[in-house]
Amino acid sequence: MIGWLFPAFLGGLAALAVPVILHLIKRRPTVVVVPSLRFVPRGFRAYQRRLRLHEYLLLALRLLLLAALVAAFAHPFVRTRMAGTAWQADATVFLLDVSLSMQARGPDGAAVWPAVMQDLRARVQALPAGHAWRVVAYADGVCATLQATDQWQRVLHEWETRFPTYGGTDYNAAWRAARDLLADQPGNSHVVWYTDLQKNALAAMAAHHVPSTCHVEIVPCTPGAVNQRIAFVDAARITDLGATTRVACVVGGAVKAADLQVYVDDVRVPTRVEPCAPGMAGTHTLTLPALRSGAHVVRAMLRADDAYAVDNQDSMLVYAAPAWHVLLVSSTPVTDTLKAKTLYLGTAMQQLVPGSEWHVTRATIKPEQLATQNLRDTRVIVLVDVARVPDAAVRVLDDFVRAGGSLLVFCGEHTDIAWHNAALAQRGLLPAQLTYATARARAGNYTCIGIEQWNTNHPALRWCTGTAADDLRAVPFYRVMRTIMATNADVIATFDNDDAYLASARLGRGTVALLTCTADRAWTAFPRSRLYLPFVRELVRWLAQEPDMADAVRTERIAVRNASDEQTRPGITLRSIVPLAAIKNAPDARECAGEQGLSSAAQAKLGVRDDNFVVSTTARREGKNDCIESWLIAAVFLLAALEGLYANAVSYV
Amino acid sequence: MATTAHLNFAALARISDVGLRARIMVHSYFAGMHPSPRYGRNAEFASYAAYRPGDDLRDIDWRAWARSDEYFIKRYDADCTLSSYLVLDTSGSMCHAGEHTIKMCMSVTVCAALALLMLRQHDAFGLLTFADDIVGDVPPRAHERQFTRVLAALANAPTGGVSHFAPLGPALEQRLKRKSLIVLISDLTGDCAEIGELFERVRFYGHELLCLRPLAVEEVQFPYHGRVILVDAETGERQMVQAREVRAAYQENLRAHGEQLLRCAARHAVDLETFTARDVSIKPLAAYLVKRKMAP
Repeated sequence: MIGWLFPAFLGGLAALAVPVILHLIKRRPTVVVVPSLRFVPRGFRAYQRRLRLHEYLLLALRLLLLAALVAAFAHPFVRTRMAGTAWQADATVFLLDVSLSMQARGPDGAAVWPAVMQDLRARVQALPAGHAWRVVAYADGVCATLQATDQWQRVLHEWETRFPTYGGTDYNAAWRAARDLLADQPGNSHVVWYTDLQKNALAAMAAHHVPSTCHVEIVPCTPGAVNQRIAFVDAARITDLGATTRVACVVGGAVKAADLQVYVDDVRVPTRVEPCAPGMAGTHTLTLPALRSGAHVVRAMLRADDAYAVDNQDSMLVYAAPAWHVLLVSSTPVTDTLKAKTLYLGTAMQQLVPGSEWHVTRATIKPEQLATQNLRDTRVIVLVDVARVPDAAVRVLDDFVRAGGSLLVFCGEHTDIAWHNAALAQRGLLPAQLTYATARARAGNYTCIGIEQWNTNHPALRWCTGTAADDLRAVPFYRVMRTIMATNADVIATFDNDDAYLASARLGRGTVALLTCTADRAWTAFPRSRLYLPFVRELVRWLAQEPDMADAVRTERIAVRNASDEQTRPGITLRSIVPLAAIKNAPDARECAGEQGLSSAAQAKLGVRDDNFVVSTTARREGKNDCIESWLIAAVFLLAALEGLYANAVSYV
Repeated sequence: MATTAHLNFAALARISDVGLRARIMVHSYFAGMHPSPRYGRNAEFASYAAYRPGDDLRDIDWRAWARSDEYFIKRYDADCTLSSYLVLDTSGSMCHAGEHTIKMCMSVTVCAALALLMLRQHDAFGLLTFADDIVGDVPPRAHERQFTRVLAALANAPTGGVSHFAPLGPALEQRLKRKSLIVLISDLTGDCAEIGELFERVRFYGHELLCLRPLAVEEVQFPYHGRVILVDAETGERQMVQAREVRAAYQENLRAHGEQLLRCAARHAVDLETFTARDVSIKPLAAYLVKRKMAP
């Protein structure tokens, strides 16, 4: 039974009317008056019959040509195995993907790997006695094979703990192994393919010839959250930014960092990406060098010769944001960095690893140098234990904050409390009024002061979960500035003597924040703590109002149209371990339904729709269907040649 | 109906310089430019004859008398006028519709040119038109108004029908009592046997027959393409052909017919000239007259 992959093309059969109309209307013979028919060869009736025969033959040729062309576009295929028909096989090969991505977990936290092994066991047990079967575990290549022995359950149990292993996915190697195993097997065969459909898996499979005696069943093993495809943001959006631009590529899925190549305006730029976590579900951010202002094209791919470049491009997000600047204001000499109050603060904001995600530049100036012209690209001004600043600088600060900038004030022994209260607190540039410095803890003992509680939902301190690894309570403070909070102030962290350590308030479109301790080791040992760097960075990042990278990641849901959990197509049966209903409701269901292995561009190239993807892939895989298409195309060329020769021979120009 | 609107009389008059001289002996009482069997006052010496009483004394050759002591008179050739008939075929093949109308126009031009030429030579000339039968007749005359009559007859000659040459012979025999020049203007698409019979009959009575055969360019080249329906201009018969396939056979048949006509004309000493009419110019006729004049 013949089916059509793209039946819409059959509408092209309407073009058959064109030659018919042409033959009916346009092909009337010319009437010529000649002096005498004496010299014209005789045989009028036979001649006319032959001409009519020529005409009909040519019309038939042209109709056949058009019909073959339309049929070739409509991609006919032979429905050898209809949906729901059981495939009777004499031998079965289970191809088991044991690559690293198979240890992914779904949105509900359920792991895929145990479900895969359970399904495999159930299928092996369901095989009839005497049925020849093999299991091939593959990643970058064939890792292990298992054949029908009495110990197969023990081996599978061992595999469940041994695999998945580190490695990529080579579908070609897996298919070659299955083909070799089935080469000498008479009768029908069955290949059950467990895979998470990464790297455009189905398109890779489509390159292979599947014999008509073989039935391939693909079992997609990918939950929604794994290998998530992130909507591709057009690189043309990187335009009209500031003087310098930070471009970050967020890479999702099982991308191997060593293979990643990033091109900016077709020039490869050095990048560095941390290796993927074992969960394979995270996103990875890399920072490109600052770009000049203007439009840039950023491409990211796994390798220069990556066969699936389109797919990988679609699995990346190019994220662009203007770079920004932190201005440190300190009265201490800046030339002698070891004596500077900004030593630890500046070190914490330094880019320690080239190419890492931290992109903030900083500079240190004296209070007298605070002027509008020095605030270009500056988002945060930090007053590091400054006694006082000139009145003009106060006005600059006021305008800066009200325009959207942020001011962070560190207290210290040089801080002029009266001036701060009069000049800054009165204008709202401080979230609290300063009173005096104290070294006394709650109990009245002159022991170290510690941070007692903090707002874990605050963006600046969200990273600090309070576990043993990152517990701010262990940080000792020797002296702190006591404050009287303003009514609109927000206390983010407090000491155990109920004094505030970190408070903030809104002023205009900007934010002011106060840290009641020093930025260096004068009043606290915090700068020597490993928590100081993330504390400073996240605090500055929050003050700079930088959008969260995760918020820029846009994902879209894919509509899964089939209501049943099992989809059967001629040639390939797509059966989901994860119920499709769950996939449909998953936060990111792109990879789950099988067709998500193809990018939108690849889908467009293959003419894939949501509901016929597997059909089209199957038809390309079917050898006989390839023959049909090839024969049709050959017929088109043959008919065209015949039509040309015949029309020329009978002078039907 | 034929037309004479295209005639350029200035151009026609130029052809009179060439002249048309009969190749047969013609009888006439008027001095002309055609050879006569009689003796006359031409400058061309013919022969001596013994003097008989009554001969003009001016004809006596006194030198011959001095040598032989006998009287001989010198006799000279006589030139007389000619009586001619312009016989025009007005059948459908000569004037069918389409581009081939140029064939009839050229025939009319030739008729008019020859009529004017004969008028200038003071020869008597008439016009006979025929198709299925004789359809028009202007008896030969040799005065000025004859040319106007001929032109009027040309302009009013009915066209169409199938050309039949059989009734033409008796008609000419009935109309011509003396040896005359007959100029037949026809494409001669009829049966060769019938045409040969005409040639034989005309020549039997001692007339000189001059056949001018105009053919259209399309008729010779058959320049049609694709599938065409050919319509016979004389009978209306239709035949659908593939032009490219029949072109060679058609041209071969036409060429064979022409060769047969030439053989037939040579057998009966008929002068047959074929024109391929591209326009209504009289140049082909002038060239033919020059060739005829230069011929021995």
